[in-house]
Amino acid sequence: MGFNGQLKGIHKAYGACVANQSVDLLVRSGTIHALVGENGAGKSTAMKILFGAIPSDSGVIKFGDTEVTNRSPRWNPEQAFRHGIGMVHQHFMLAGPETVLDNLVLGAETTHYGLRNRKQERAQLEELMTSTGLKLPLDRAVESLPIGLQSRCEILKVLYRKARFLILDEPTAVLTPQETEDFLATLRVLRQHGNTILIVTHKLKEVMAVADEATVLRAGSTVATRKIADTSVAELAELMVGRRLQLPKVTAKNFSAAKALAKLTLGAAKLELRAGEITGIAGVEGNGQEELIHALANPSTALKLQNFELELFGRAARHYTAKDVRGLPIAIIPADRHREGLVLDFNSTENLRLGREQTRGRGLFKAASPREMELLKSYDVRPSNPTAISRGLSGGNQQKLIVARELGNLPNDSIVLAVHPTRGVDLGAIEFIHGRLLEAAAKGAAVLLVSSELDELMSLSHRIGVIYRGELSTWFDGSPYDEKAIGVAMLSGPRAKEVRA
Amino acid sequence: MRYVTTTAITWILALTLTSIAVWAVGESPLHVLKILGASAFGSLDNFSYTLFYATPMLLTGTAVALALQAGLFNIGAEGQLYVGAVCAATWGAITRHWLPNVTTVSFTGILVVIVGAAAAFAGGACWGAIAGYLRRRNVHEVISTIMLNFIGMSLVNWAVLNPLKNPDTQSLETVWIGQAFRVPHLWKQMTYGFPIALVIAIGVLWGVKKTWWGFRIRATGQNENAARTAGIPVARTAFVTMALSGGIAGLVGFHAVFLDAHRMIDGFSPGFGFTGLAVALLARGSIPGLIFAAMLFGGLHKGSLDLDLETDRVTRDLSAVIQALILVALCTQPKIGQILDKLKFRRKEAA
Repeated sequence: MGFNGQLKGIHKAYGACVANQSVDLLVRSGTIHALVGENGAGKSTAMKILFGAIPSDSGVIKFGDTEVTNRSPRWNPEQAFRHGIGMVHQHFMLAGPETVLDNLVLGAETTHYGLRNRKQERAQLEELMTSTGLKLPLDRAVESLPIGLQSRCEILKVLYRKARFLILDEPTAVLTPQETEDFLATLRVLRQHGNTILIVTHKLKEVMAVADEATVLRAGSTVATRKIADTSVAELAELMVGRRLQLPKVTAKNFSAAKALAKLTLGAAKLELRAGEITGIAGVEGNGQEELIHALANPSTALKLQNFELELFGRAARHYTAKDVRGLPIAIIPADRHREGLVLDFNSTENLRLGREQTRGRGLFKAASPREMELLKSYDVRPSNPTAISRGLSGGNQQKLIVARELGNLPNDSIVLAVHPTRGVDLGAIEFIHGRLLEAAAKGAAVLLVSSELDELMSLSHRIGVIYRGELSTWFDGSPYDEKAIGVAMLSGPRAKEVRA
Repeated sequence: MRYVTTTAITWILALTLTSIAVWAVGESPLHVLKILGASAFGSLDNFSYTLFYATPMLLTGTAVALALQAGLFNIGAEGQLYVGAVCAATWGAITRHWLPNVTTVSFTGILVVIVGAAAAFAGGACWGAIAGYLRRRNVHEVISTIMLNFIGMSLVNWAVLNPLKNPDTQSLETVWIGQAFRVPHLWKQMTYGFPIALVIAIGVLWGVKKTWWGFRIRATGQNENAARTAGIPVARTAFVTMALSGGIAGLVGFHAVFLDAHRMIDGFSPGFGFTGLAVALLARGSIPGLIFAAMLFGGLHKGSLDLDLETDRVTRDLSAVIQALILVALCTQPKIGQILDKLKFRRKEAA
């Protein structure tokens, strides 16, 4: 009753930019298939073409034995739905204040003489939930659910519409390790029930854990399809990037008694950043990471906060004026590179000078100096053309530009605040940025690393603190880290330890 | 090449639109166009009038353009120029009493005129600074500047009716400034204001592109968050920019009081502050664009005054409509560029 999904020789260009050169993909009925690749490799485009959200320029789309490419009206999401194909988007499409039940049936309501027949809807959903094992509280408001359950909501929504072929776009991007594990278990259950699943992701560990096959895209073309049983993370990564990767790792993980460059108390969170060390902060998003960063980055506006104390470079923050703070050697790699990192319509040189404009000779703006050209080269910003407009750079290169600005001219004793420094960035760029952070720490900088990627935290941090509801009390020192324990602390706070003990 | 093509197309569009409007009321488009052209640029006398009108537009245009670079929409140039004029007129009235003995051009006289300019600048800057300060308190500058316009205009009204009232006349105007401080026109109708405005426009826009403070203004305007994160004092930058912008607009008041009418006449500005918006939007941050746009609107202003006199059906209102249509057509230029690119791409694809 299931069916294969297939793309053959798909080509798609947006203007002069070729998104898909030649994509071949075969998702076998009843399997979990992973579509992996770096940013800009053409994953999303291929997926959208399969779902009918955008038309391809050439190539063949097939489901089962039916070729759907040259239909009229052209293959579109509505037809896909009728075919039993459902898609779950990376960004949830849920109406927060409404109940789970209403969200699940939205757009496919059962009616009885023109009125909603909630009874029947509820019965159908209960049945669906028991048969798949995906349980949800139907009467809770969606926004009151944890993210993990919200993503489950999205899947049930598609299943309720009788989809047998699911396309999932980066489904685990916002989940905690624990939630991710539950989610992967869900996928296995769905496979048992005969569903076919295409999962688009760049998290290779998950691919290895759940998929049957993986197709790797690079630069818009399919480079390989591998059976998971016959491959490894290393091989997939190499196929994605086109070369062997060497992700750097922190070496000495012993928490030392080095000089503390920053001491922060913010509500129930206490934090010390020591010279030469990378302090990792793990936590589910929205547990106070932003406030922490904000307090460190803008102490003058944070001073109004209750129960706030901050010492920077051995001096209490309230003794600094806003201008003093700007003069301190604090590098910030912000969470959102478009919102806080770059002025997108500036060119590389201008973005390198952002915040350092006054130090230029006589304040006049000239073309890039040799030092700036060298920065662009050594931080591997591509293209290294100093007049390239930042909007046109890929995400990874934009991020490298920010890192070049923040870490390129760093004095040795400085504070580095790196927030999700590699979010949405290619493997190659991740390798590079990790290297730079370790280098900064080696030179004596005190680095604060906030990330939602546990792997990143574990491979770079000298110690990891878990933040939970604004409280920063569970600390993990040195290697090896207990991934499971960190995950539990992220989900249930410091009390988790007692429960487990 | 692309720029020339799109410009040509927008002008054809502008002419077509105005022709339709003129034709609809029963006048010959060609005739109207001829009058417009002749009265704006037809003779040296006429051209000097165009430059005369272009002067305040260039100043307000620069003021608005500067604020735009910082991401601020200064709708308040009208109020700022009125407040500038009140300050200049007050200074004029004071010096007339203080220095009645200065009668010929002298060092004191020149100093008085310069201080008059400074007073007008300061008045406008204060008015802009209020909006800038409110902005820091999360009051949007569009709202505050609009409100401040009304207050500024009322202030002029009050000034000409009460403290600065000219007792010798029935019309709504202030006393004249002292004989020795009345700067004559530079060339026919053109005042010293035009070269001054040119220098200011070029200086300000060049500075915005080339200096560190201009860089701060642009960074703040394009991405306030990124600028703040990188350590630029965005609140102060926005405040200072708004004050500067108001000051430049305030200079229009100096132009009216010292360089042109030698007194402040109630309602002397036919909306120069708002024309400044159009000028700045049309110029899109380029220096030649700003000068060209100011001349264009100056010419249109001059031409439309004559249209009223020399045609039967085209009234002053309709000439306002014509100005608006030209503006609308010119605003389509970027879109036309996009359409051209698309067509070119299609043709390439088909080939």
